[in-house]
Amino acid sequence: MKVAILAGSLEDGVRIARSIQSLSGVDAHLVSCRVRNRNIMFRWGVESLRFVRGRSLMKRFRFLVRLAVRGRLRVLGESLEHPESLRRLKELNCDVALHAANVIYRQGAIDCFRLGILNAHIGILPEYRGRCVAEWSMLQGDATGITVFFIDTGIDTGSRIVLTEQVSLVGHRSLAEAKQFLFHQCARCYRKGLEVLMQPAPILKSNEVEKGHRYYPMSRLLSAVVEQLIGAQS
Amino acid sequence: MELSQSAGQPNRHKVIEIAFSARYEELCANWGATLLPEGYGAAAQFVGRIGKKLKLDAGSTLPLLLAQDAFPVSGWLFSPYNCFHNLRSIVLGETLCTQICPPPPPLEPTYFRKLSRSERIYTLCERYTCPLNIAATGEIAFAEELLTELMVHDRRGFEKKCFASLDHDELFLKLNLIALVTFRLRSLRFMDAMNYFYEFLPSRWSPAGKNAWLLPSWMCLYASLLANWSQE
Repeated sequence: MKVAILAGSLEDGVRIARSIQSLSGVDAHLVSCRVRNRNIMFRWGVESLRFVRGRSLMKRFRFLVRLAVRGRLRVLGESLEHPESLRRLKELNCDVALHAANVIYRQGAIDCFRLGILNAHIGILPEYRGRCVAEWSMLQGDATGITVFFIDTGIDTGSRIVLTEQVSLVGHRSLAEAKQFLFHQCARCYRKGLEVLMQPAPILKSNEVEKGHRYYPMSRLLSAVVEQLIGAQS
Repeated sequence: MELSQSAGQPNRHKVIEIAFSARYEELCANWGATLLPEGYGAAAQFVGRIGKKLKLDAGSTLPLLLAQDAFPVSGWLFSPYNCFHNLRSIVLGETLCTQICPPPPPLEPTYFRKLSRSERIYTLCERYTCPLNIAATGEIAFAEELLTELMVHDRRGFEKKCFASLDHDELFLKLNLIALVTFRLRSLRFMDAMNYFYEFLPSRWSPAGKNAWLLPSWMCLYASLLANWSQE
């Protein structure tokens, strides 16, 4: 299965690529995407800073060089919707893409991949769509976790769910730490999602959007309540 | 052990109630004393009465302005008065003059999105001559649309401090309507839209629209919800 990782930062892209590299039958390509129309100097400045700040710098750097040497690293100079970017994505001829670019995709980009684009959403679908879903789940006493699903142009409304995994956030001392932990589970969940898709007849669940709600950024007031609840159980 | 098991539902509700109670006191302290009726023209008397409501007397709290049974369930409330008149009556805790009638056809979100600024206010006021109808069972999908507009489009304007780019009358009319929905649904999602906007409001700020009184009106509804929040 040929997989493209659509990454807004090399750091995130490398984390996912390393997680899926040992998966038998997967040919991973890292696509560095231009997000929020940042100019090239700013983009590479931020990229470099983020990259060197992470752990195991040399390992990640070597991994990145290896990808580049093997022709598995692409850098998009334009936004994902730009015809040139779409042409280059189509040219890759990938079966599936993994979302790590912090953008909302239009149909043109989704159609560049045979199966579509997978998103590892840090909430349980269909109930928790939108923003701050980990916080909202904790606030309302529901399970926290990750849902890997095929996106459409809506907000977490894609109809095909590949995988749902509950992830407990007990033991974390703060909301930021708990969310960071959850985000770091995404690469592993992508790997599991690809394993499901590579089965002979994968069974996908339906995302019954009408059974859930869309959530929005949480106020400082309720975020403080969530912090308090996390503190009480750590 | 999951959060729900360790903290427990009652405990979680208690923490939320305490947070809302603290916000209520903060709101009254910040806005009760600084709402100056003089700046509100013809609505000065109305704003003055809200100012009095928000001034905390020792040990007293603002009562719950609307019980859940005040809202229409399947029918529609017809009122001979207009939307703004009825909204002010609700905020002041006065009895509305209404009759039950059949609901109008649903207002399609896709249609509403295409309207111009002035058409949007007009449409909202025309449809919700009795503003309680926004919380009728058949209107919840449209209330969701208003919530999305507030928390996506309007929120962006607030976060960038581009207050001038927003239509203040429309913004605060939507917040008033969302507050009414919250009285009916007791939904934290709807309630938190108000928490969010409250946090972005500069202190002593007053909107630029023709109906600036919609801000104190919303404040009063929000304060009543905060003071009486309970999901049980």
